[in-house]
Amino acid sequence: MSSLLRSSLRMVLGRRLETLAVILVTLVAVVGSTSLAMVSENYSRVTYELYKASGGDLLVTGSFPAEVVD
Amino acid sequence: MEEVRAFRFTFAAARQGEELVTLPVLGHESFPQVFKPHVLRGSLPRNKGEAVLYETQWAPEAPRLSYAGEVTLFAYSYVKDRVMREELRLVGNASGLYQIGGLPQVLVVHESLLEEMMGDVYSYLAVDVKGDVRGGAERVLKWLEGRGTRVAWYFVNTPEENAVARIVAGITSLFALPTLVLLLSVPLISASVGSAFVARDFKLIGVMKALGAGPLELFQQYSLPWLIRGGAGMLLALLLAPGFGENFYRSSIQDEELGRAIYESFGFRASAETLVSYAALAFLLILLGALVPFLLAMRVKPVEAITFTGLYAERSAAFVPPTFRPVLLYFLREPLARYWKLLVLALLLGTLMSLAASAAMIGKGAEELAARAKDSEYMPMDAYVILNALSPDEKLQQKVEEILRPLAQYHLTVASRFSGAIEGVGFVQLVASVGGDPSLEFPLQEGRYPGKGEAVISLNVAKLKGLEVGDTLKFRDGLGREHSLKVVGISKALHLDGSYVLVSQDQYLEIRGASRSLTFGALSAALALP
Repeated sequence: MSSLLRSSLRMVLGRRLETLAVILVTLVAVVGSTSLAMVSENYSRVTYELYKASGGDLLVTGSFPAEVVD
Repeated sequence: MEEVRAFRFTFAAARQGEELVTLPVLGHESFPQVFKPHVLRGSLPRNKGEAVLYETQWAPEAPRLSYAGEVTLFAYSYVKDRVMREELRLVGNASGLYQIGGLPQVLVVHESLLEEMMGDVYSYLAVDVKGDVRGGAERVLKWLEGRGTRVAWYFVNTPEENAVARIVAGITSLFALPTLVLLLSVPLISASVGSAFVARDFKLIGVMKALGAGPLELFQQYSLPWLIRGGAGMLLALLLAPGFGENFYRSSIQDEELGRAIYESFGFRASAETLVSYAALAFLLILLGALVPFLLAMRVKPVEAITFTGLYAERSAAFVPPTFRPVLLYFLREPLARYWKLLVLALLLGTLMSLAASAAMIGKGAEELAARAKDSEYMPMDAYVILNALSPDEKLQQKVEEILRPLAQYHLTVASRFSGAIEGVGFVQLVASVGGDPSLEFPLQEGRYPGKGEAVISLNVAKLKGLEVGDTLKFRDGLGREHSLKVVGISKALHLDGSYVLVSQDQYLEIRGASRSLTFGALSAALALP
């Protein structure tokens, strides 16, 4: 098994152009797609956190005398 | 128990030169606690004569004040029972993402000025609930009502059901297409160059097979190197993705100062789950791409490969002139022989063409909508007035009707904005007709106006949900309780973003959960001028 792997590795190192091309394409594709997904997730999370920081879990507007709330 | 933060804010009119706008007014001590995070340029008001103008970055279209100069404030004082007029000097400006009442600006004044207007009354409660958020929210609302307070509006914030967050997620789902195209490019090189190697080694593979080479040797020769290359790229990507994502996220918030403030307040979370799932998907695609040359190599027949002497062409159909036969054959054979290339090309071209078609359809739809907005058949009213008040009631409504009756035809409504009330619709306005002629504001496409247990829905909601007159609409209120309303009419009015449900006053009170008289945040009047 290890001889098979060694032989494949020799091919990988021997054909540098193909190796570089595949590594670059995979790198750009995975970094690009994962980053976009992470940014999207963070937008949604921050929107929720923003409401939480400003209005808590329940935001109520109206007229509330101080003696009731305090 | 629940933790409550109480603040004061009121609505007021502000004049600057010729511009007169309605905007919320907040105290300088409350401002930093409610508007988190924000960027402040200048200083907060130090006395009753100073003010700061805040503007949200998610600004809806509305008249607004400019940052410099003086502002004259007209606000009703509940303490003095009269309208107060204050001359204020703007000493700073602020920006952030939060907003009150869907308005683009907020005037921040000295807390003592707000106390003069409102006395010992709070108007904004931020409640942190421990445990079940919906249950806690219902408890708090009942408790407040039981103590004779007036609730004008409430919003229950949960990570799963925050409608704004869902809308943001919907907008960012536009990223899905470039993400898909990027990921689909992963197996292309392995599959295409790998296949070229198999074509080149056609005879060699035949000899290898004749000498006893099996699937393992072919896999090692024609797939494993591509897997190793792709795997190396993926590992490198896993290391770089969180940092790249963080930088991309920071640079995507246009306002640099605000972007920094948001980043410092909420940070950036690189989700391991996302990272792993995308890496797994990429690896699967790498594997698929790497398997293509292996499968081609497996199909090579030793005898045919060794005896193969060059390219061959079969006899073409007799009706094709002999000169064109090889060319025609080539063009037919090429795409059919490399069907996976044809598939990828068709997929990419199809995606591009569907994007162009969608853009054209959206443009045409927008033009039709703009034309309809000017058509009195859809929008019969001449003017639409919103009266913002802290705790208006039927007395205010009667007073407004007394003023309007001799002047114009009118329709009075109260409304509450609900998020996620109808599945698949972000925000819905629940509107109650409380006075005047509803046809002035909500002309019917079909059906009649609602009674108890009934509703008129907008054309938009009807189309989106596939509802017709006689169907039942499921409406979920802010606490998650479901109400069933029989659809008795469909309105073609375009306003309120086209997403509204018109109900009777009794039905509105039931959905709002109010057991007492009508209370609301704003009274709206649609007017037809003589």
